[in-house]
Amino acid sequence: MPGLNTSFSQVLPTLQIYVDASSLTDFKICPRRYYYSMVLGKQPMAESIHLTFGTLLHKAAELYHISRFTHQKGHESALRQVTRWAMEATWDKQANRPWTSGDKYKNRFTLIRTVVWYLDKYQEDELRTAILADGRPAVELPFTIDSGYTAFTGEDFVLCGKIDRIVTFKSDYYVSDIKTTQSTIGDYYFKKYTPDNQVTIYNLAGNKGFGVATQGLIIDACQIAIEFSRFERGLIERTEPQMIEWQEELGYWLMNMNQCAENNHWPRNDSACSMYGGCPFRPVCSQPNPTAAAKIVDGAYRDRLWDPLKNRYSFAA
Amino acid sequence: MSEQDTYPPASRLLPTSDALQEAQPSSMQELFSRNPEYMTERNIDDIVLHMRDLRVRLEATATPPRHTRVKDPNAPPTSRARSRAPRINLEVDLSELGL
Repeated sequence: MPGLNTSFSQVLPTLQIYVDASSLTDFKICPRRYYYSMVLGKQPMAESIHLTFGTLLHKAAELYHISRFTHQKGHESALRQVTRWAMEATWDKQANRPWTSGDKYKNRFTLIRTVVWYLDKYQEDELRTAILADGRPAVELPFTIDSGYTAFTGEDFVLCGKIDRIVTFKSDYYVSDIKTTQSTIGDYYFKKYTPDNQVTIYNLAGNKGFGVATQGLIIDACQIAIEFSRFERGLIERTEPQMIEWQEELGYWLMNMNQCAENNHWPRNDSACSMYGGCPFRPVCSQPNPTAAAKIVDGAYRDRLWDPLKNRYSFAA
Repeated sequence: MSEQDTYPPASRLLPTSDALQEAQPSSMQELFSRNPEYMTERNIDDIVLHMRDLRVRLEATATPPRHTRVKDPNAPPTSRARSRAPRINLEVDLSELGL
């Protein structure tokens, strides 16, 4: 396993106690996939360009809001600061050359273009950054909230993660998030977020983690094409009954996670292998026997420490 | 919680292609291959200006995506719309004509 993952149990190292949206989503898709990616900490050799690009865009927007709000900078000044940051973050210092993503849609040039266009478009934003009770702007908010469930080790399961921003919109509060896609964005795009694991966790974090009665998420969807970036904003609401139901069902998933770790048995969901663009661990699961599968896991994947309690914005190109 | 009030919107002035021409920026290819640690403020300005110019030129030529187009209520129906129009069965009593 790649180093110490602080989100896992002190008693049983394969049991995740601090569970974020990515981990829970992986487990819901397939316990075996979750085992390889989160417990063993494996990922394909090639980087996930979608994750890298999304992380950089999130960080750029976050720096912009901090610069505008905390440092009282104007749009032009904050935009240039963020542009410089993005240029530096996508410079491979070791190789002394630009970061090359190998993707014609999501690359260094389209990232900088998206940052400039996005921040220009929303500079006069009707969404206003909320202020927390302690006076801080509600930007870059790591959270941990009690799930209400306890593992067999006696440790309490905790939901964790990080939300970008809490905003006010027409006198209501929402969690604000950015998503990137290569597809054209229409109503159908936003419909996929109800139901959605991450949206519900983020809304729960707004309510329970920061004491703000958030009504759901406002998602800024960014379509990244070769020659342009286009933006659409969608409102994803969550009702109280929806939130209660989700929390009740959370118990089912956490108890299953608990049981898998206790028995060290991670069954496959073989009806999900082709979903979500195809499981990256399909080459492992398709081996004729466990010995061959173990060899593939060790040889064809690299180590990745996904610790949701640590800052995941430590991008190094 | 209170709504923050120290985030005044800046006036939104976008440069045009003429502005880019007048600025005579460094080429993007050269800037994107340069180590950003050694970039000057002018270099960053050039990058921002270039990206804005791309957008201005795109907006001048692009058609909006299909789902965002506003329909002209006075436009004649398309052949597809005509084919969706309800069929009307005409029943004519020809008995009075002695037919």
